[in-house]
Amino acid sequence: MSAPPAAMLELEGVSAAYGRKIRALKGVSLEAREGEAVALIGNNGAGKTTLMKVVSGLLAPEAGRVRFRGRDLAGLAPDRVVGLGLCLVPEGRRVFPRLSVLENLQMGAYARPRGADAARDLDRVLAMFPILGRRRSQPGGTLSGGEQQMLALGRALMAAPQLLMLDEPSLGLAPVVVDQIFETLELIKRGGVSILLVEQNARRALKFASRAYVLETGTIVAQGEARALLDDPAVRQAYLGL
Amino acid sequence: MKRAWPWAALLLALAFPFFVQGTSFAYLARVGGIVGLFMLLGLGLNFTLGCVGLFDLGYIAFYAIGAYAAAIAQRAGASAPAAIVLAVAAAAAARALLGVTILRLRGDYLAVVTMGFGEITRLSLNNLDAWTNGPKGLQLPPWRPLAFLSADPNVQYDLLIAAAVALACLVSRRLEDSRVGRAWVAIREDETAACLSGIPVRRYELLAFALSGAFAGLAGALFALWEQFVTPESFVFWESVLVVAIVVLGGMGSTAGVLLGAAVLSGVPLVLQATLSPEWINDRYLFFGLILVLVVLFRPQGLLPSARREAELSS
Repeated sequence: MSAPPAAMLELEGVSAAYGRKIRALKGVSLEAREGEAVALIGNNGAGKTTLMKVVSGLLAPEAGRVRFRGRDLAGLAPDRVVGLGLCLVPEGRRVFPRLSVLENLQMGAYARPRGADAARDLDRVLAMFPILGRRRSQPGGTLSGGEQQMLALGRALMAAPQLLMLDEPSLGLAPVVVDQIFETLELIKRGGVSILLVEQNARRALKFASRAYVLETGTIVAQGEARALLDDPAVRQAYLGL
Repeated sequence: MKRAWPWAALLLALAFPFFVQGTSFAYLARVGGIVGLFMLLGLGLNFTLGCVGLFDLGYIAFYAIGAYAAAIAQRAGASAPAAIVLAVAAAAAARALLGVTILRLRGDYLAVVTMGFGEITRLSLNNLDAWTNGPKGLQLPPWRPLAFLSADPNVQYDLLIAAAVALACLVSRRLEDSRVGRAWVAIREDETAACLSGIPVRRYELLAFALSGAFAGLAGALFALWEQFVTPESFVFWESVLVVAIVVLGGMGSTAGVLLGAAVLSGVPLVLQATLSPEWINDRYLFFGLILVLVVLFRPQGLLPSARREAELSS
């Protein structure tokens, strides 16, 4: 028996709130291990996006700890978190609409020292998404929804992340495009990048991930092997509509 | 061919005061100098307003800080060049410091707070008698840097300011096309996405603030040395609005646009003042208003917008 892979991201009793009244996370603990794909599912307003914001440094938690590869992330600005190799593809894609596709991708490598590595990663991203290469000088805002998601994903990969967080990558996309996105995520996972995936499309997420957490009004209510959750009657009823 | 334009414009700016000196158009040398100062101010404000997209209604405060810093330094015995350097540093530091405290604000709130800062600065200058001599203002000893070129101080300062504007353009253009410039555009487009891409947003915003402060400080110092006199009256709210109008109407984020905006908005009223018959002089801002309305109607993106901005407004 080999030792289990080391934890890459650990959350311990994380609470977060918007203002005084709206408490979006109440003592959430979870972890993602090296090379693992973890899914976080839950309804609208469960706190999924808030959790992503806390981990990426956009929102300071009220209580609890976030550790990435053993390092406490408390007080780190988002750009520093990216520099450590933890990268978020935000909900709604948020490409830079007037920057060209190529400039969007270059922005992703901003936190890294310039050099051959970034050039190699650019080639890799363009090979992964040939459409981005064909549209390299087009403004990001003129791409279709699916292409923008690819661009957002490519931009995040340019930061050479060790853990990639994705917030609702399938949102508003045609099923065939969703297939394509998940195929790409599979490739990224096989390349050794850990993935934390937030999705409303629970079936998709559970099929992709090896482990999963279910978040309900700010609390983890179920967790385990993704396959087991897929068969769990409660989860099936609440999130899969069966 | 495109590259030749800026050089031709600079040559013209440097040559024209010599043609007008001693003629009945000598006032144009003075107009040229004032337009040049507003070009410096416009280029400075363009860093924060045009590049990063932070609205600001108190920018003239830093022009005032530059002017008073130069005046106080020179009166304390510093040489004029040293006073200029000091003024640039003081205005840049003051603006960066203001940036640290107010950059959490956005939009309307930022506009209100910066407007307040502008007024506080003017009122302070008016009341800190021990330093600023209050409303009576400060007198400066004369400094004639280019006496070997012309006996007319207006011509001398015209040339000096033209050189400063050329330097400012060079800095602006270099930054626009640089990594820093692209980061500014990214911040303007989507601040959250920018920081998630690893851009240290706050640091780049502060850089824009400090640079715009430095430009205002340079303009203020040149103004003080030229006039040999500073008073709080020169730094009223209207001047801040004028600089904002220069950047917006010229074309946000575009160096050439800001230069043209400054020439039109600060130059035209001065020329009208000198040429209109006396019964029309008080109506000269009517023409100014007409220009604003025409630009908004026919060139809402600005006179010479940057390519990116044009795309933003046409879509």
